[in-house]
Amino acid sequence: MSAFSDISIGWDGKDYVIEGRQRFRVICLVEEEVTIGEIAGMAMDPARLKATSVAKGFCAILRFLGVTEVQGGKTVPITAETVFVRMFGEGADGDGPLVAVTILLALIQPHLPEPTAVRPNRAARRKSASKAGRVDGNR
Amino acid sequence: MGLFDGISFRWDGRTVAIPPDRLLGALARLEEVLPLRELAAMGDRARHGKVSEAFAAVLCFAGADVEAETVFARTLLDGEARAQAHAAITALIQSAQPPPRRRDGHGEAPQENPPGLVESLYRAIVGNGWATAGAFWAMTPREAWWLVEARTPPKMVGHLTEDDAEDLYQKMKEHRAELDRESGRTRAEKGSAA
Repeated sequence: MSAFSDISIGWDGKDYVIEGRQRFRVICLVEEEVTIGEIAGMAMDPARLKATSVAKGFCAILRFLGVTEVQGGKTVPITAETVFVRMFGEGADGDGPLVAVTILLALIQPHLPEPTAVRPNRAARRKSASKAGRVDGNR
Repeated sequence: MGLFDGISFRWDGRTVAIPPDRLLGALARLEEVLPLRELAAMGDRARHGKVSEAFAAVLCFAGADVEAETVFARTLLDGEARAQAHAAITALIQSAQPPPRRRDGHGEAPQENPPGLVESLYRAIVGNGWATAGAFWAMTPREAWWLVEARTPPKMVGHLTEDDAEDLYQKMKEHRAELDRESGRTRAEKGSAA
């Protein structure tokens, strides 16, 4: 049994799915920007929220998912600046940063795999993946 | 830990042992994922994912069948597992430290992207033909450091080693500064008496 199940993230009115087998890779990318300790600290005490770290961590997820933006007529991977402005800029929902921290927390949350000698077959793994929970990041 | 002991630690209810002649291999696996300088630089900002990946590589090298994400989940959710992983990585790193009696790298400029510890040892020992690759991987880290020491005798300044000469020079400088302070005090006292 994998330590992670599929997770769904919304951005800009669109839903994206991170498969369970990809989540660990995404966590490592997020941790290049903001560590699990920092995410947990911000979740427990919103006064410790670091806007740029949250934006960079969330941007790492969006880039992994292939989210792009248009800059000077060119389509490029979404930048942390854009994520920052959307989350914290003028007109942004006041809850946006906390929602982002919640999504980051949900992303890193594994479940303890049982020490099993036999791995479930592919069909069983697919079935379990389809039951995965969903976290909505739409704002 | 003795000079020629391997390391052993608990993981997932089992004892995992790395014999002394496999320590360098285990360290190399660790450094493939997470170079020691990067691990040391993390400080309070430890990246749990990367450390889990590195520890999983060591566990696999030691014969365990485990995935990085499982190590991640276990160490994140279970404090005891986290402590065991921390102790294992610390023991592995300590096993490779050079003996304390000699200081190296004095006055050298830091390299921009220095190689890992095991890679440096390999380059020095195998690259210089001091031992074959097979013999290198069968060495304990302490033996590897002894070989490096034996093959790179310290620079001598007269009958003193470079380190001893440096110590002597520093002591002389301190003594000189103390004498200067004392003579300054004496001049000031004479001036005030006059």
